[in-house]
Amino acid sequence: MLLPKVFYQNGSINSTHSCSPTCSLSSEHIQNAVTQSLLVRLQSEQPNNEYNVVIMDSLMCQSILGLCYDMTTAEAIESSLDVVLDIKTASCLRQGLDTLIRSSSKTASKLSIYQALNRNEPTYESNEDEGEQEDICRGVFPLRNSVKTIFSEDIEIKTKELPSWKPNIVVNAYHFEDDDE
Amino acid sequence: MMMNDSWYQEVSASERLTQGDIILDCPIAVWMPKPVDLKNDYEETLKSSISVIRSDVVVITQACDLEQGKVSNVTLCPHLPLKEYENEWKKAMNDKTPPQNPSQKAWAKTCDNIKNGYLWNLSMLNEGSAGNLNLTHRVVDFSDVYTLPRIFLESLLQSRGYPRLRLLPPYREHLSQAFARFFMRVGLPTGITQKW
Repeated sequence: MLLPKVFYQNGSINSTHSCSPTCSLSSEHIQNAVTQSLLVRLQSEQPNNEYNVVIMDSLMCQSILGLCYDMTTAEAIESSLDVVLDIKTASCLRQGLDTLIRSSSKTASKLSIYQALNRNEPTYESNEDEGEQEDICRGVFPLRNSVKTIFSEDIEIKTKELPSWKPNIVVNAYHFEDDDE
Repeated sequence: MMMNDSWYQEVSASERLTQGDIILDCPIAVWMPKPVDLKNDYEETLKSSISVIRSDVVVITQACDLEQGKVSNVTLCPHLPLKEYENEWKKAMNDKTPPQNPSQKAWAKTCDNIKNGYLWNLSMLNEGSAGNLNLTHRVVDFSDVYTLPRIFLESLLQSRGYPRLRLLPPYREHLSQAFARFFMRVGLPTGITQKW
């Protein structure tokens, strides 16, 4: 079966099929396409396995991670599934996979998958998870960014034409002392 | 910690960022250093105060924070080739009143001071090469600190597609320590009186 090649880029989504021209799809289409691709591939290769499907929101990477926590790298997922991940999704996947591998390896439960995916969104659900939460936090407790955008505008820049940074050198007596030596 | 005689390694464009990564020609949006009056059109005034500059930067954020995904923004400090720094240093000397014409010995002494960490805001990176990449001596200036979203940086590097240099341990920690010293330093109004 020839799987579609999917590019997922933060809401700006394009999909190409080797036999068809590029077309635009909604995020729902993409998510369905990727999920279907994953299921077909996984079930054909390992039909006896049960897959722990955890979909917490529409983020494609979360559903992929729930399905494929056996795989060790985002690259492996990409090559295995014929899916091209954008850097944000790949980064999220890698972080989640890294945490899973470090923590409970192949016995990862739904809970640890959830925690792996939500390390930047700490919860206070139960006291029994405190030990694991503390281990994950390791002294740094990042809060979810909540910024209010005052304005936003797309601009075109050419890096080579930008003014370059210059140091602000303050000359004080220290320099003159050195000169006298 | 792995020790290494070489200061740098070459990493591919798709490699995740870590402390000591050297990013050349990085575009940075900054507020222009000019007075701002927000009484009129608030948004337009702010928009007109934004500038985008280009700088070579080095990643200062802790490697573990990047590895563990603890931060979504990356702390960067600018650096420039020693030769360019020398030109800027001479200009600053000439702009003094009265103008100074520093000797080569004075410049050599300044280089030694930077190298040895006696100038708090500066640090020097060694020249080096890895793979097909080369770097001349560089001066890092901790006086300017920028933070850029990690996603922005990693996608920028990936879309450019060419490899970059990365400072190796323990040199990257040495740089990080110099950065920390710059911020943690405490000046005393009166030094210790020497009577021995």
